[in-house]
Amino acid sequence: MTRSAINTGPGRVLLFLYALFAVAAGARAGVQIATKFDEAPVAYLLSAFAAVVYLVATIGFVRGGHGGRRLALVCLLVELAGVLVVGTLSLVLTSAFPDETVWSQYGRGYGFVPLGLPVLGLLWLRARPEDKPEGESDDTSRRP
Amino acid sequence: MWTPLALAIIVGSVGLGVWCLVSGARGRYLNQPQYSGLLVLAAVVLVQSIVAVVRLVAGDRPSDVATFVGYLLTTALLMPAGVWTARMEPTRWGSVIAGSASLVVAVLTLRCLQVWAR
Repeated sequence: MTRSAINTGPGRVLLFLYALFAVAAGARAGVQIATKFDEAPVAYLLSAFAAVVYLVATIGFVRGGHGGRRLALVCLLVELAGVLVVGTLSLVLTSAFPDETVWSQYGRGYGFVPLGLPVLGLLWLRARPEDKPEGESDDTSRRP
Repeated sequence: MWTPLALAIIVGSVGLGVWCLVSGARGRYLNQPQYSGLLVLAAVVLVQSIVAVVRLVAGDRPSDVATFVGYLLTTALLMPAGVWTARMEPTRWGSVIAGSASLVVAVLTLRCLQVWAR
């Protein structure tokens, strides 16, 4: 394990929370799509999409390295955009969202964790920069 | 759901969650009583889930079954996953993981109770 690993320490807390949200959003969307898809197809599909993003982000955090890092970064950005756009739309166009999604009202139904997670994730990726090529030292990665 | 058991889970998991988070904040990994507490909580949550499934199958169900089942699935998986992840991280962050899992169990159990009562 290199010292710029993103899947240990606080990173393990993040990946646990991401896995939790993947399951929570996935279970909810799965059941809703299976039992009452017609009531609010947009909301349920959005929840399912959010679940996939959380899942892929989890995989990125677990894998780490260059590829995992990039995967996580893309997911975090999609997620941040998603929670901001859907959060705003759910307030402006209430009729388009007859049922809640994970990202409705900036994730209020989930204690605003969906808004905080991508921000924390991006800060974490920044706090642990990738290993520099030979010879360079990088002390910012040595955080407690 | 069985309300007295659900209330016991909520009280117990909040207490245990805060205790674990305090350990994390003080830079410590879980101690044995905390670890045992987490296992007991996981077992009690499992019992509650079984009770809920039995009542669902028996026809005693909330109006919004879909939401309830979604919450129930997540709740049942949460503690085992939390304990497993915390064990892989034997540092202060392991305590943070266990504490967060515990607090989320409290929230999810509360949500399950609310949905069940409706």
